[in-house]
Amino acid sequence: MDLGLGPAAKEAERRAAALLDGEGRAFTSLPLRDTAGQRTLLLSAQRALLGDLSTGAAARLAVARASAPLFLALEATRHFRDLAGAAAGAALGAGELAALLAGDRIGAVALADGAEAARLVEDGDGWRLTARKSFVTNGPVADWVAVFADAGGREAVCLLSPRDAGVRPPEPMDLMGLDGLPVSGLAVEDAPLPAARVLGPFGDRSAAARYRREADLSLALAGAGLMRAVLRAASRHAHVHERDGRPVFSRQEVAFRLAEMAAQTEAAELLCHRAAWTVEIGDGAADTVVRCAKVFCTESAERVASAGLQVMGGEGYRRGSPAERAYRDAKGLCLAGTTVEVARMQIADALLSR
Amino acid sequence: MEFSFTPEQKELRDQVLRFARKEIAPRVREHDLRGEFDLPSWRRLGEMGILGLHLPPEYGGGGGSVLSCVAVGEALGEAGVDGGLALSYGAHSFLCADTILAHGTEAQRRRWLPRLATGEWIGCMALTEPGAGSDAASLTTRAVKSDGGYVLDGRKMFITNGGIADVAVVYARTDPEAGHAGLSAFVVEKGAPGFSAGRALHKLGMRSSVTSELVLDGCFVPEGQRLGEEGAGFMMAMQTVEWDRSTLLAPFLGQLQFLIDRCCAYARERRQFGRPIASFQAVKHKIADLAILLEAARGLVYRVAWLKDQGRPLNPLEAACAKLFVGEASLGPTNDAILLHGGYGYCHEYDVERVFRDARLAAIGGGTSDIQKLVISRLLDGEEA
Repeated sequence: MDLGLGPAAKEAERRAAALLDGEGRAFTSLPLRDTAGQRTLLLSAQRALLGDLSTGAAARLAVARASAPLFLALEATRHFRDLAGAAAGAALGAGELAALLAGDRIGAVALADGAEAARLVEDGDGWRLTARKSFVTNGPVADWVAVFADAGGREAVCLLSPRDAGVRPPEPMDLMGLDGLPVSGLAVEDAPLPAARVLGPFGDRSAAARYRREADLSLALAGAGLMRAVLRAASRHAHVHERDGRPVFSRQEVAFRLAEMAAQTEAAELLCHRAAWTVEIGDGAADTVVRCAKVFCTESAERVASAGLQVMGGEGYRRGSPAERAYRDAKGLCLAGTTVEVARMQIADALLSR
Repeated sequence: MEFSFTPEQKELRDQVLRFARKEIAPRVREHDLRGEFDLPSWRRLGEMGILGLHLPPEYGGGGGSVLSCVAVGEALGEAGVDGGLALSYGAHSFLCADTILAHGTEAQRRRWLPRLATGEWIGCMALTEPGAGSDAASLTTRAVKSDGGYVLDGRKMFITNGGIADVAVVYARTDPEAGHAGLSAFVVEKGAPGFSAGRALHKLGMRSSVTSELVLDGCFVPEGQRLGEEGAGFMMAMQTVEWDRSTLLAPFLGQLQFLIDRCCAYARERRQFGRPIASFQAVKHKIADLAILLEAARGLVYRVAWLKDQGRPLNPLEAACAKLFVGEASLGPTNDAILLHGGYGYCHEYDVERVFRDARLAAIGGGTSDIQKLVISRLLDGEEA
């Protein structure tokens, strides 16, 4: 066991925190339809940070602490890169691959479920894609979207450009929280795709399962990052805000609430590290540990955000305060990816089947 | 970060798990009901080298790491060993023997550790008093210098292993004016004139561990039985916190795994409305919450143990967070495990109510949750939370 952060992880963490403190705030304050502004900030963060986000949890937590929405946008590009993988060169061309690796392209992933659907049919040497998907992170600003589609009962991944024929222009969605995060639906009508831009069809559905796990881990990390950000803001406020001639921190009710927030935050961060480690080593329990992290970190983020708001009082209730934002953001993290209810079912199913 | 146990630690864990399931678990209900210490199992744990696992080989120990001790603690809990026996092991090995190892002279170590390592002697630590626990500065047990030693007077309270201990590490005040700096530690042996066990305490959980008062009534302790320097007692007592927040919490983690196993087995077997209750969403959510709690708690406990193994100074915030989290977060899911079992969960033979009762101590013993919050909040400076 080695539960210390290595020098590389510490350096990545430091770099991410230093870079993002300003940009994270700027990202969350951009108007909903300022996709040009979103692209500029996101591309700048991608060029500086995407390399650090590929392994471990330290740098990812640092980014999530600075800005959960910007972190999720970065992660969406990273997930696209992971999915496109080795096939990206042949599928997108050498120039696009180089741009993607340099952080000069924004990626998104669309995995339809429930009533949504994405169907792929053969068309001569190529394919035709029809798809409907809500809530695609980076949808309004993406250069490339990886779309999971059903190809006659088998799973395939289509690498789609918003400029492709048949792709409807994305409409940014106005969300309760995660300010600044570009999210849209995806509507594709009978879009022709060359064979090189279709990965698969695969013999199993493991690519989607892997992506869901990665996305859930990203949401857990975002939750843990939110918790630390709220804890810091609330603690700072409690030490400087005075009532009856002394800081409110001197009241045991306030100090103890912060202590509870700290214990949950520590637990969440360590669980993220552990979940990331199980994924990295290919541990058989990785799916379950990541789901546990998703549920614990996102639900704890809700609790900690609420407690932080209470500590910060009226100051926390002002639009744009870290606690107010986190309060709205945390709910989105619980709902996004695998919902906490479905995750609990899957955790229990895994345990019951042993 | 890397979270794996070594192959040796895994083998040790499996060995303890097999042994405890076969040899200890079948008698746990009986000992819990009677509030009776399981001495035969204690002896077997001693023979296996568990009771002295962390002590160096030259004192009869196994030279094991703190993480190895955590692996053992988890295995005991997972096997269904009651928290009482695990608590007795913790108080003996870590609060008593380790204090002698850390602060004793070579002669003191050789005198007490080999027989503590085998479990032939049982150890305890006596800090808490009827009127003072977490507020160690207000301890009133006195140690007055006398010819060739000290005379100890006072009463100790809530002492795990108190009534059965052969060796006690006792904290007493050598300087009544010096607050924390006026405390010193002494080793008092069973049978010392003026040293006796008071009434045994009947508890909600951990019932097979013997918890009692200790009475020091003009008890003479030779100078050679003082541990460390005069006035160093508070620092020694605080160092036991590192053990309290790692190895002593490990059995609680194991008990959560035990509950998961029990709940899954029951949910698969129990049928209502024509189908196993495992197929109901509310039942699945209860099982999942146990697993989520276990995964969240593991990192906190492992980190404290790992830091101790590295010889790094313990961050009190990290230790207190582990204690606070395990103590508070375990209450809901352990309660839900009883609900999942319905009426059977309320009955002794299904074991889950015992785990609920045992788990209650995690938020109380060794510093209540409020004390942990006090420690944590003092370390939140407003900038680097």
